[in-house]
Amino acid sequence: MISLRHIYKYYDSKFQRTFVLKDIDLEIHEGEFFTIMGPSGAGKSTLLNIIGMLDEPSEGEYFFLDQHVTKLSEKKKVEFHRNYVGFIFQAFHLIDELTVYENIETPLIYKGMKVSVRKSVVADMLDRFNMVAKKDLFPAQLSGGQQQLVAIARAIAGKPKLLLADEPTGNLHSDQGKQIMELLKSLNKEGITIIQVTHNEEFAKYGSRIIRLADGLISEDSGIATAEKKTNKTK
Amino acid sequence: MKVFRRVKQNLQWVLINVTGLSIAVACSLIILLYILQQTSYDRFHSKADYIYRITLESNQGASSIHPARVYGDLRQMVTDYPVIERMVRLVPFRNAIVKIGDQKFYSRNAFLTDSSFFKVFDFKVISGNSKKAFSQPGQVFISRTLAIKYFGTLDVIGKEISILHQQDPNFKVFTIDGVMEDFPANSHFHADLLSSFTSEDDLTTWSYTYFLIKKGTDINALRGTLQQKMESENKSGNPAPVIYLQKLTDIHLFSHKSREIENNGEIRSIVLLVSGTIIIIFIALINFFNLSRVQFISRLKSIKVKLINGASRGILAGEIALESLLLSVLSISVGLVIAISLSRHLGISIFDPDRIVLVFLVVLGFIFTIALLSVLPLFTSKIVNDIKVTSRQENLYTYPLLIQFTLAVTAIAATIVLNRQMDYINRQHPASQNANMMVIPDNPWESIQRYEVFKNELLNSTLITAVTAAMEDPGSDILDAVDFEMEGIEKKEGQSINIFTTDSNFFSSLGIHPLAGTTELGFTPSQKWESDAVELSQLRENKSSDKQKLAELEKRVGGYREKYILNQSALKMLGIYNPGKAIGKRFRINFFLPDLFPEGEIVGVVPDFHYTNLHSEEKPLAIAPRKMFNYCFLISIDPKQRGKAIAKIASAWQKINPEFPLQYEFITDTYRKVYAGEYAQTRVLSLFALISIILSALGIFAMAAFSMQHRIKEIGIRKVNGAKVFEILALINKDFIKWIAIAFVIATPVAYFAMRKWLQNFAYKTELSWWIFAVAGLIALGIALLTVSWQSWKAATRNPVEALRYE
Ligand SMILES: Nc1ncnc2c1ncn2[C@@H]1O[C@H](COP(=O)(O)OP(=O)(O)OP(=O)(O)O)[C@@H](O)[C@H]1O
Ligand SMILES: [Mg+2]
Repeated sequence: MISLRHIYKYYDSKFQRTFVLKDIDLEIHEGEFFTIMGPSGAGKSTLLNIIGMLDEPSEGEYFFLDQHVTKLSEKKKVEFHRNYVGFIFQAFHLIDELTVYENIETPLIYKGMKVSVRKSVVADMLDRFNMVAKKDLFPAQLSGGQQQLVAIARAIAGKPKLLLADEPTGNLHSDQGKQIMELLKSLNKEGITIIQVTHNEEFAKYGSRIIRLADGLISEDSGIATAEKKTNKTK
Repeated sequence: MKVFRRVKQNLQWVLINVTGLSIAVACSLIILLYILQQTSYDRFHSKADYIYRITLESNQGASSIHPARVYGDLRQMVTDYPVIERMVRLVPFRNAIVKIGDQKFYSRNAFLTDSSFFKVFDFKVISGNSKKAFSQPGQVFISRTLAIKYFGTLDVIGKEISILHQQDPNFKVFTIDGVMEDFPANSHFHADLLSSFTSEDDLTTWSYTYFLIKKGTDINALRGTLQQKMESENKSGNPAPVIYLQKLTDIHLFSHKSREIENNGEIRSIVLLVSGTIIIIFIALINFFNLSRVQFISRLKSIKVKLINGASRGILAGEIALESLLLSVLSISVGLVIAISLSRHLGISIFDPDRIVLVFLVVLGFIFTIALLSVLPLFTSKIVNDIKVTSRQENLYTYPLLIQFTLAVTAIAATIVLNRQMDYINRQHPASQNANMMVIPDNPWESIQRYEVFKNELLNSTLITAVTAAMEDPGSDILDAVDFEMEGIEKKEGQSINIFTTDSNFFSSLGIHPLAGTTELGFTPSQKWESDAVELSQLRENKSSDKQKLAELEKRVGGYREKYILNQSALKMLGIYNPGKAIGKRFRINFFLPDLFPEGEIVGVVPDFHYTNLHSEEKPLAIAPRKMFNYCFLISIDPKQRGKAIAKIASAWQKINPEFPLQYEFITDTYRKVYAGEYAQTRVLSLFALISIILSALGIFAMAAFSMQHRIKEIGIRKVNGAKVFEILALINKDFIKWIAIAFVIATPVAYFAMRKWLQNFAYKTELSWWIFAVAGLIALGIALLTVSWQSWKAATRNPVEALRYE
C-alpha cells in the first residue's frame, strides 16, 4: 500500500542543511497496524506528514496505492485526502467554531456526500462512540478524551483506508489512552490500515509492527526483526 | 446556520465591517448619483449639442468684466450668419414683483423671451400653443407650480398677471397664454414666468443670449468670424470685447461669470467629492482587508484542519467568499437604505431607469471586491502544510494602516484648511460678524426713490441705530465701469474705473476706516437734488430752450462739488503709492448724465474693503455719495430689541412702500449665501474627514483588540517578571506611534499641495501654516493612541495569572 524509497527530508537554513529524515526505505501493507517510535525531534511527525501527503519529501520516491505521490497534482492529493486518508492528532485539531456533529460531518461535505447520507453516517458515528447526547456541544465543552473520540469519529467517518495518528493519546491520561487504543485496534480489525506515532511503549504494543527512528534514520524495525525471529523459529 | 453562528461569534468584527462598508457603499452611490446629476445638466434638450450661449469679455484692464449676459441687440448676427439658425434671449425682470389678484411676491425667475424659445429649448408645455408662444406682445407662460400656488388650478389660460420690472415705476399687465411643466432640476435656469417682449426698449438691454447653431458648424471658426466683425466695427476707442461661445451643456459645471442666472455647480466640488469618496472607500476596504487577514489568522487552524479533511483551497475560498457575501449583502442593504434616504434629500432618485444599471454595477463591484479581499489571504499566505498552528502577526499594523492614516491625516488637514479659508474670507467682508445689520436687498426702483423718507421714518425710532444704502448687495459684484479724469494723472488708453454709489454714512456704518483723508462727508446732496441734476442733464442733452427752467435748475444743482473716495486698488491702478498724495486732487467721472456726478475732489482713500465677493480681486473703485442707484438698504438695529426693531422696520416699510412686499435678511446670511458652494464643499469635506477618522479608529480598534488577544500571554509573562502597567502600555503603543509618524510624513506634502491647488481659486487666501499639518497629525495620533490604549490598558491591567491560565 505504501512504499517509501530513499526518502530524505531536510531544511536549508542560511549556513547549513539540517537533515530530518535520511534515506528512509519503508514498505507498509494494507491491514497493518504500524507504530513509529523514537525520541523527540527524531522526525516521526515529519515522516507521518509525508505519508499523509501533508508534507513533501526533499528527495526520494513515495508510492501510495501504486501512485507516484511525488508527481501527484494538488487536485489528486485532495482526492486522496477525501477518500483514503484519515488523520488524528495529539492536539485533536477539532474546529472550535463547529459542534461535535458538524466536526464529524466536515470531511463528508468535502467528499460531496448528500445531506441524507451524511446524516445517517454522522448518526452512526455518534452512536458508535456514544456521543449522541453531546452532538450539539462545542469542542471546548468536552473532556480531552471525548475530543479525541470526536477526532477519531471524524477521521473514520469518510471510511478511509489509511488512518494516521500522531500521538493520539499524548494529551490523555492512561485510562482514556487505553480506551482510544482499543478503539484503534478494533478499527484495524475492520480492515483500516493504521499508522501511529507514540512515545508510550505499552500503546506501541497494540501495533503489529514497530519502527524506531533516531536522528532521521530507522534504527530498528520489528517487522524485519519478527520476520527474522520467525525464520529463526522455523529453523 | 454555521455562517450565522460565525457572525454571532465575531459580532464586533462584523459590526465594524458593516459600519465601514455600508458608509462606503452609501457614499459611493450618492456621489455617483450626484455626479450623474451634475453632468446631466441641460442635456435633456434634444438640440443641446448645438446650443451655445454668447458672452463678451470687456477688454479694459483692471475693470474688465465678463458677465454671463450680453448688452445690446444681436439680431443682426442671426441675419448675417446663416449657420446661426435661431437666437433666444432671456431678459430677466431682475427682482420682479409679480401681482396675481391681490397677492404680490418677488420673483427672480421671470424673463422676457423670444418666440423661438420653445423651438430651441425642449421644456414641456402642459397647456397652450408652444408653437405660437411669445409671438405677440403681452403673452406669458407660467410654470405649473406658479399656477397651482396662485390660482389653485392649471386651467389659467386667459387670466391676467401683472409684473413690475425692478427698474420700472409701474406694473405691466400680461395675459396667460400657456402653462409649462416646472423646469427639470438639471436645467441651468428655472423660469417661473416667461413673457414676450413688449416694446423695442426691451431689446437694447442685458440679455442671456443663446444661439442654435447648424449641425456640423466649426464653432471656433464662427467665433473667429464674429470676433473679426466686432473688431472691425469697434469705434469706441477702447479695445473691442472678446466674444465667447459657451456650450449650453458646459454652463452648469464650468461657468462662473458674473450675473449668472443661477448659482452654477462646480467641477471642483465634484473632484473634491470624488476624492473624499475614494478616501472613504479605501479606508473601509483597508479595514475590511485587515480584519479579514486577522480573521484568517484566527481561523488558520480550522482552515488547516479542513484541508486535512479533504477540502481543496477552492472549496475553502468558496466558503469564505460565501461568508463575505453575507457581509456584503448586509453592508449593501444598510448602505442602500442610507443612500436612498440621502438621495431623497438631494432630490435624485436611485431607481431612475437611467441610473439603475450604474447603481447595480457599483453594488456588484462592491460584492466582488469584498469577496476578493476576503479570499486573498488564502492564496497569498503560505499555509505551511504542518498541522502545528502558528499565528505570528507582527506585521499586521503595517502598510494598510499606513495608507489609512495617511488618508485620514490628509482629510483632517484639508478640512482645517477649508474651514480656515472660509473663516478668513468671511472676516474680510465688512460687518460680516455683525448679527444686527439687516439687509433689504435689490429693491424696486420706486422704493429707492423713497429712500430718504424711509430712512427718516426709521431714525425716528431709537430701535434703529443706523440706516445706509449702497449700489449693490453685500457679496455681489460691481460691474459698472466709467471713464474718469484726475488731476495729475496721465490716463492709459481705455482705462476706466468702477463706480460705486453709497449713502454718505456707508463707511462709518460698516466700520470701515479711511487710510487717508476722511469718510465723514458732511453735506451731501438730497434726492431732490439728484432728480434736479438728472433733469438738468436731460434738458441740456435735448438742447432745451426753456432758459428759465435751465437757470433755475443750474442754480439748485450747481455749486456742489463732488466728494469722491477712492479705494486702494484704484490708487494701485493709478500708480499712487502714498494714499495721502491723492487727497485733495481734482477728480470726476464721466457719467452720461454729467450733472449727476459733478467735478470735485478726492476727500478720502479707503482700503480694499471687500464689500463685494472675494472670488475675484477687488476692483478699482470711485465711490460717490448718491442715493438714486442704491438698490440695497442696510439697517443697523438695537441688538437688545431685535424683535421690536424688525416690527418697526416692517411697519415703516408698509407705510411708505405699501405696494411692495418687504424682503429682508441679515448681513451674515447674505455673505454666507454668496459662498454657499464653498460652504457646502467645506461641510461635505468635514463630514468626509469625520467619517474617515471614525472608520480608521474603528479599524485600529479592531486590530488592537485582536493583537491584545494574542499578546495576553506575553503581557502576562512580562508582568509576572516585573513589568509595570505603564511599561506595557508604552511597549504596545510604541508601534503605533511609529506608523502614524510615517503616515504624517507622507500625508503632509500630499495635503499641502492639494490645498494649495484648492486655494488658487480664491483671489484672497489664508496661509498654509505648518501648524495645520501638525494639528492634523496630532489629532490622528491622539485618536489612534486613545483607541489602542483602551485595549492595551485592558490587557495590561489584567491579572497575569488569569492571562497565563488562558493558553
Ligand atoms: N520547518 C522546519 N524548519 C526547520 N526544521 C524543522 C522544521 N520542521 C521540523 N523541523 C525539525 O525537524 C525535526 C523533526 O521534527 P518532528 O516534528 O518530525 O519531530 P518528532 O519526532 O515528531 O518530535 P516529537 O516527538 O517532539 O513530536 C526537528 O528537529 C525539528 O526541529
Ligand atoms: Mg511529533
